[in-house]
Amino acid sequence: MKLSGLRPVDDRKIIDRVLNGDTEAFNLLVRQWEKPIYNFILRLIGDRDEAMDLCQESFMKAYRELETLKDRDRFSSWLYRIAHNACYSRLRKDQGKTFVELEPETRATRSSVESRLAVEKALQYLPEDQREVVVLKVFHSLKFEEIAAIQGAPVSTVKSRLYMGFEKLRSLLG
Amino acid sequence: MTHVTDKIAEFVFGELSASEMAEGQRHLAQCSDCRQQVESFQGTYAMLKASPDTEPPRRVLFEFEKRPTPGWIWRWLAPMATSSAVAVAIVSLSPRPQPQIIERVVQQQVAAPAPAAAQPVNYQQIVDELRAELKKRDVEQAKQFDRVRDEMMFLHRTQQALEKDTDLNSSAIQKYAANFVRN
Repeated sequence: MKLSGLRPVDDRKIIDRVLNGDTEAFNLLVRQWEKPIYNFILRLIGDRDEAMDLCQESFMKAYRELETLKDRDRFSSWLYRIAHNACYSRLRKDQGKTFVELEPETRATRSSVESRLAVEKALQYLPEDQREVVVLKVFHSLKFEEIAAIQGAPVSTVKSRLYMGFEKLRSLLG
Repeated sequence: MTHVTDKIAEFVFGELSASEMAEGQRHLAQCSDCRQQVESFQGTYAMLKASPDTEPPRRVLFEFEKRPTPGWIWRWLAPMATSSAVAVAIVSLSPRPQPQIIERVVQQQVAAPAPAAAQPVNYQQIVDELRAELKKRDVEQAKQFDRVRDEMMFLHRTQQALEKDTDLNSSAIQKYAANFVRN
């Protein structure tokens, strides 16, 4: 099966197979979603090793709790929610840690690598809830309603977080 | 909708209805404030989008075994997991409600900085490395065992010496006591 561009109907079919005993099929879901989930977590957490651990933990939890998934067409949102919970547990543990100040020279003309690093650093400046909304909206193209379900917040709150996040990022990135 | 800034995010992300989007476009043609704010929002969006996704440093792969893997594999493989680039979660095929999760090192897959042909994985090398590691640990374990045995022998000899001294002291005390009573 070609893995790129899996649609919800494909996710549902794979989930049906897994729950009917074809457990190996779970790897198809993993292969499809590990990069987006890893990047979502990385942009939220800011540390590659931790992001990889949490990514793995999220898939393990998804496998264990697959039977509890009510709407198999919404596997991706459910998976993002699992990753969200894993990240917030880790972020609560890391509360109080400081991070590196954004250096003024990052605002100058940048190479693509520097741009990526500048964006990563700028994102870390945002409060977690704003950062999460920005990441899910910009990089994962989720709808406001989906983000609201993941965060357990009203849609209006999600939109406010996005606006505030963008304001802050505009001032940081120039 | 009067000003686009009321729903700037929905407008930029295309989440308004077709009629609202058309109305917004017409408004932007006439309102420089809204146009400036939308351009600013789009500029920030473009800067963020320019940051590409990163490849995960290792792949997550679930392997399902019919039998549970003995715990001793986890004990000697777990310390190597930090140096590995791929972690494999093995889930035993015991009934789904309570799976056993064990991590096992399988292979190293480093993302090449430049596009290149896929590198074949040398499984034999990995197996040889694991065997060498096991052998090294066996040797270390044997040395540790010898150390513990030597310590035990020393303690045993010390105990014997103490018992001997205790016996001598007891005899001396009894003789002294007997002399004391006689006198």
